[in-house]
Amino acid sequence: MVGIPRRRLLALAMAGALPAAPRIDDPFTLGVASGDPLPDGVLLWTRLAPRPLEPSGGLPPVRYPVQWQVAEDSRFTRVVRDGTYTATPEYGHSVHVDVRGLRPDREYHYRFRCRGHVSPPGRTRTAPARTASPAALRFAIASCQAYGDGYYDAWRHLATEDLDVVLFLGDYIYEGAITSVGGDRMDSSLRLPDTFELETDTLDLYRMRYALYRTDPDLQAAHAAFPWVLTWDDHEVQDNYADGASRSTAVAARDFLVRRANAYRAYWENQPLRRPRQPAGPDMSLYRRFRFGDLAHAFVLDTRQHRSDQACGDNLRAGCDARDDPRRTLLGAEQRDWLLGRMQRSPARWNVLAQQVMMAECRYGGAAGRLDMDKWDGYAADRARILELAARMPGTVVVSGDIHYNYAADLRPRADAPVVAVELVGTSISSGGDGSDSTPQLDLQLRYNPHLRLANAQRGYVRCELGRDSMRADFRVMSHVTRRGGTIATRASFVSDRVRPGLVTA
Amino acid sequence: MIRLLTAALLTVPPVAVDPGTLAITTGQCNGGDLTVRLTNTSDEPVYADATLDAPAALHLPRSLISTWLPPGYTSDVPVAVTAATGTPPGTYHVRVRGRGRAVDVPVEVTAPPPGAGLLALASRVTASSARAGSPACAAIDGRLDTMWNDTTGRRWPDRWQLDWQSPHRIGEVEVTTTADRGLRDWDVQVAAAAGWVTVASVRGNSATRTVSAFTPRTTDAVRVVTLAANGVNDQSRLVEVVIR
Repeated sequence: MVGIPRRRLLALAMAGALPAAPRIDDPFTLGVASGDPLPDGVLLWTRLAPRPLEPSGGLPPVRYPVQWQVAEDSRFTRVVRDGTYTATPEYGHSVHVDVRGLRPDREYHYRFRCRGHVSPPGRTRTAPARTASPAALRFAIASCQAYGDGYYDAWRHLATEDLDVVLFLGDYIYEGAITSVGGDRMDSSLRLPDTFELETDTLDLYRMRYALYRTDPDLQAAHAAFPWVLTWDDHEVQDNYADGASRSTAVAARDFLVRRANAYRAYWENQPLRRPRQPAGPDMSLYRRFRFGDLAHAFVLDTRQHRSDQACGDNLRAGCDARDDPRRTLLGAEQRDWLLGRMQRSPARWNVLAQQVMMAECRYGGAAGRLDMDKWDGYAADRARILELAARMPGTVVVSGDIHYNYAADLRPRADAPVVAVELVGTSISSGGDGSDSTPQLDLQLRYNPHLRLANAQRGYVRCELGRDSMRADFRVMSHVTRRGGTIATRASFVSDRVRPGLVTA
Repeated sequence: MIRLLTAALLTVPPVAVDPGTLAITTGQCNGGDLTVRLTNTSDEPVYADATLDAPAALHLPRSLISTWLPPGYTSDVPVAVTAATGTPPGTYHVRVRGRGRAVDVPVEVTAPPPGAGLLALASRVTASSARAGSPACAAIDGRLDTMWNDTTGRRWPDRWQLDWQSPHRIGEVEVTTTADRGLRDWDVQVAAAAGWVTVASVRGNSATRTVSAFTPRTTDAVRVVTLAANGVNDQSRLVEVVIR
């Protein structure tokens, strides 16, 4: 605070007599990121936090000008766009630069400067022109990175892949307590303050949680390597929430929505999202579409904010008729109609549904046939409408996260119908710890769910390539995550034909 | 500008703190809670901040509260206040500042009284991990509706540990776990010069309350190393520990 009380600074700021912002240590401790690529632009992100594990990142409540540059080369000799952004305390000193005027389907490099400090550089890529006919789109899907469950070596490996974009499918942070040694990381050098043992519910705690995650160098490397397109799942707010309903029935919707507003605000501040995505209180429009020439349209969905409460009390249920109730929805009517309308009119060869929870039916307990009410199995009517449309739309691919397992699934509108789409469920980056190739439960699921082509319980991500007529998916799995230095290998690869979908081992 | 400033100050949410004073004894688990109340009295939603300042003798897990407040809404945020064992008795002050208002909360700190039980004398209580809302201290709070609950599902062992500032002679550790998915296997260990010594092992337990008696020893720390649970064998659930 350099001797100026916070109240005095606020008063000066309100009176328009703010002194020059004081000198600060390196504010780029959280790395850089880019996201939501368009043919002519990309969103650049960073957040100033010289002391990232302190409230407000260790910054006083004053504004900081941040210079940014976009160049065609990694040495920044051909700068094509630059400018200054003002980072404000109201938005946690986050920086969201909506760069436009770039060329389509090109690699660019970017960096920031503030108070004499230069950020690490980032690399990004614009989307192909709308009229382009790309030969391929390479992307990875990833999700679920509980900090206390393990290290992020999977991100380090992902950063070396050859990708156009990363699709992150939710559970970027977790709301629960993290011990001073970072949970199962058991990193005694961390010495996290006990603030991180508080469950996140207020804006300051959500902001600090994002800051902790973003200090990880492997996560920073993955953000700096590619543009990301993100959506959230439940843990960005609270485990298994549904619209305004908390997991706890003792919490009133009015109180839960205050928490949701805090969580959504922190989410926007800490992700490479454009200004129109900013929340208004507890509401934030996150579903959107990206076009990659005539090759692929990606529909990024939000299955948390607009869903009906889970049927039959949530969890695994058999014989729950309410799951078929057509009045119940996972997407909400507005988003569902938007998706169905845009999909129906899509001229792209592939339509990718990037979303959170497993769409394929998945029976638990063998003959018991229990279904998970938190997934699409609990919202059968919405699923049926999408798969009925997919039957008329060649090239539908669903990518999912949430569950910390790898699954590869053929999707049918009915058990006796032909395959109309394929689903790739990506495992977690770290959530769940080291994992194993299989478990008794997964073995049982493979036996009782014949449309599942793979079930695996290791950590990692899925690398995908869409070609003009076929797609390929490589399930990349980690040797371990609770110790540093995990190695990665391809556990299984599948291909699927666009016109005659169905996963076949590659 | 002055009119604008006045309008802004009139619409900022006031802050209040309950209770107005707090009395605690030293020791990590002997603190008390303050509830910071932020109210939006305006017709528009606001984002509001409150800062908390305390002298080094007091420990607060946070120094800032920021939250969105819809019109007419009051947000109640509990903040735990503790003083480490050995803190000189006296009155200390927590200062809570919201925009436009500061509240001073006197905190009276005393040492545990002579003859206080072994649990009240604990200087530190820690665990290998703990869920938010189920901290290590919940295992010595005398309440059967709270517990220490670790975060590592199906991974063992877990550890719960109590430290004293000076050694005590003990010969019995009573563990209360949950009836559903309670602890099955654990070791009771005491600190010795050469390291931890197992003084009792419990295996195949299905009771909620188990007393382990052993040859009395003088030690400055006790820990329960949990090895397995019943039911889905997922987590450590330690409702109460009593040491005699």
